[in-house]
Amino acid sequence: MRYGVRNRFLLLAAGVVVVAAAVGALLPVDAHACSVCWDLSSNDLSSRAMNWSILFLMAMPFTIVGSIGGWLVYKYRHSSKVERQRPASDRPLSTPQLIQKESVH
Amino acid sequence: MPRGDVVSSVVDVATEQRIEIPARPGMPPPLFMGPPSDQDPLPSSPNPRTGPPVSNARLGMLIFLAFEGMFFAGLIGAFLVYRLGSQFWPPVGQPRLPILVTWANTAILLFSSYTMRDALRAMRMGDRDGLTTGLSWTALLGTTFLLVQGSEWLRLIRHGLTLSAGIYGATFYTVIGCHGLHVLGAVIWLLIARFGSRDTWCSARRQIGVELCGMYWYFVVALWPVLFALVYLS
Repeated sequence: MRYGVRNRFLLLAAGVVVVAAAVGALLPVDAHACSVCWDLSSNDLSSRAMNWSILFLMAMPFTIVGSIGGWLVYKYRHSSKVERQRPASDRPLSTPQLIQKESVH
Repeated sequence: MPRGDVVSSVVDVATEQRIEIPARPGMPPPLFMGPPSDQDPLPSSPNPRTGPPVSNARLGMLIFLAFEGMFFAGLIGAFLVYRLGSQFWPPVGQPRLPILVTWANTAILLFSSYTMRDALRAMRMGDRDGLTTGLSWTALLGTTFLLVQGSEWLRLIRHGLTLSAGIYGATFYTVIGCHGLHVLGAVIWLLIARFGSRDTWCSARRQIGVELCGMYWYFVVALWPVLFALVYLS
């Protein structure tokens, strides 16, 4: 039984070594992080254009989400400010107060 | 008011039955008034005092506009790659874009945001005629923008600038054409809001529809100067 387990372990280790060797042999010498990051070392027009485009696309989600988030925060703060400025008698009662009043009656 | 009179009603969520609440001295009105009827002031905010400052419909529209913004960001990103990567723009042999007419067209589109603002203001003040007039003017200006742009496109095609003429024509028609399609959709929405506002103009659902249409119109108007500067002026 123990011999069988050891054999299986050796077989698995050999398989891992063979697969790793095959992957290492098949990989190209130079690998790029992404398929479009070519020729970034030179300073030609295409590389600069690609860089600016990537920067633009990276910034856009933050710009859009930041703008919408900022507007929502402004709306919430503005509404709470208006609420605070109203006289206390005009303000609606919150749910716990309602329950308390109901229980008193 | 005599005791026993019904002052309001709520809807039981489980049974979906409306329960009438009799008047009681000293009792404030209930906070939740049930699902919005067609005449409620704000459909997603049952009580304007306690409801959210931004309605669900507006929030949904904002998320949709964020998606639209990213869609156009992708188009602009592709345009930047080709524009900044080219030494000559427009490429040699390609016709120049009509700057002067497009300046006038830009002014028309920007002015339409002013008429849209008037329409929304009239709606909030309960001015039905002001609402229909504002929506009509906005739709008319939007249609004018599309017609002028269409006539310019025909002229450019006659000069040889087609979608398949090269990267210049492809990027131009893709970016500007996508915006034109959005303006067309917004004009159709405006017309629906304009003619739908005749009978049920004061209903909550109709008003929130007009509000969302206004948000969408502002988006397509605000987007145009960016595209104009990039595609026509750069």
